[in-house]
Amino acid sequence: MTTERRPAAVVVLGVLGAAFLSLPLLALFVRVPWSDLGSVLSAPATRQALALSLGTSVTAAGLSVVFGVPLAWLLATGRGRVAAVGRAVVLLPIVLPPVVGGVALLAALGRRGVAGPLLAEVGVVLPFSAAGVVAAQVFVAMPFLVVTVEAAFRTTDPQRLAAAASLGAGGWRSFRQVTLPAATPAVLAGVALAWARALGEFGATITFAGSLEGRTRTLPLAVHLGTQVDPGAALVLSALLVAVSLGVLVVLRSRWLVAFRPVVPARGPRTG
Amino acid sequence: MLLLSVAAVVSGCASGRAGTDGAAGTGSAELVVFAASSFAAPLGELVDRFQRDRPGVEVRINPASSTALALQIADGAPAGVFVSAGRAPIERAGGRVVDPVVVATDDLVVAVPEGNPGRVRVTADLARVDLRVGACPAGVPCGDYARRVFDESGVVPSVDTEEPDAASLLAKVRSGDLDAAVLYRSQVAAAAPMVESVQLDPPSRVRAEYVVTALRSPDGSPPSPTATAFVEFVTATGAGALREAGFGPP
Repeated sequence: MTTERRPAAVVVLGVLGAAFLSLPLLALFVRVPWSDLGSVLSAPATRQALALSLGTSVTAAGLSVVFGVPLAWLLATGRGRVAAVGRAVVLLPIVLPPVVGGVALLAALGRRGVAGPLLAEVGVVLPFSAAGVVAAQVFVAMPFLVVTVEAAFRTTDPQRLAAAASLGAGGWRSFRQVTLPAATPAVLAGVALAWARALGEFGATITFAGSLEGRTRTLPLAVHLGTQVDPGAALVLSALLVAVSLGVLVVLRSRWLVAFRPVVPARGPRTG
Repeated sequence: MLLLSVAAVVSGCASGRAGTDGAAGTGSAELVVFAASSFAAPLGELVDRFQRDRPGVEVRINPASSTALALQIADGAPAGVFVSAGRAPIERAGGRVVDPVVVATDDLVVAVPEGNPGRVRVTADLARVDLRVGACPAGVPCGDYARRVFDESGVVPSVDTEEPDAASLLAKVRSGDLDAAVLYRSQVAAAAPMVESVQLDPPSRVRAEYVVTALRSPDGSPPSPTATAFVEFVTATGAGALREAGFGPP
């Protein structure tokens, strides 16, 4: 009532929301056994988990771009029922529990899965391998990129496409020189989202790829194992993941995530 | 942990209300049993029999790795009884443990999928790199027992994955995604015919123990009468049923 822009109830609820999000992360750092920090961080198992996490998540983000950008373009330009169903299917992994993704991947690519035996014939066996970790990460992470990029493709200025066509540009050329540059901020934001999601992937990974030190045990899986047998290590590794994620957010905040914002509402594509 | 306690508070409220509003009256009680995942199935049958004679008593089983459960108990999880696949997790559960008793023992076998597609014959086959071999992590009972078996026989297994607990490990053998894993005999027998057991060769002297204990509340007050009654039921009446299910005597 007194201030027209910040009613007290809204402020209180907002602060409570902020506290709920931030206090558990602060508590994590309060409870980290700092005396174990050196031994846990320098343990070969930790270094292997960190290296595996970074390697697989970067690969997963790369694959998400290679397949996700074309998929986003198909969905953005598609009409009718097929495109509608396609959009729903792409959204599913975002709303499904990741463990369901793992079960589904086993059903498809597992040893007795629908396509698993075929792949095994040509020497591709994904479960219990680092490639399986990447597959699980792509399954849960690529949809974030597709959704982000599709929104940008939809807002590509039709007049610019028409202008490109009138100047004699073919489909591939106008995609490469008009559509894609306009969507670049969204692609970068989508890569960041997909990479972050892949880095944090747990449920689909442990279900589909299993957990083995140095081969498939990424940082989130190492945290989970810690909660089962060594809570101190779980706290240290969790703090490590928070630090890595925070570092990424700080780096991204200034550039890509800001650029990403205007893509969400149906405003013009001229974000740069 | 937080989720667990929230769930317990919520279900506690619900059953409390049922107790006062319903016909059950003073007999109404809820008991949460934290149980080794490998023991959840036989325990479930004991729970059915225990509840049959006690209307108003509701027993819920929370199956997981005994070590994970012990850590949760030490952290104040709202459990009334703990059934552990070994003594080490009992130690880790800390001061809430009251008079732990060995209620059953079990042997270890190699679990293989139906038809034994990997043609596992002897323990040393688990070192074959062409097989998909699973295990439990060190520090979890099924992992520690298996490590003792391997130490005994001098076999260095070629492990492809470490699953969080015995039930998860058995599930991957059942689905055929794993060719072999060292697991408990009665747990494997209960999963027949989808899972078959291969005798350890050379034979192993490693025996798994299931230990049951009532738990003090996190604030130190004694176990509930229902918890004490359940432990007595499992050690006395339950013993025969466990023998029938293939477990060895304590």
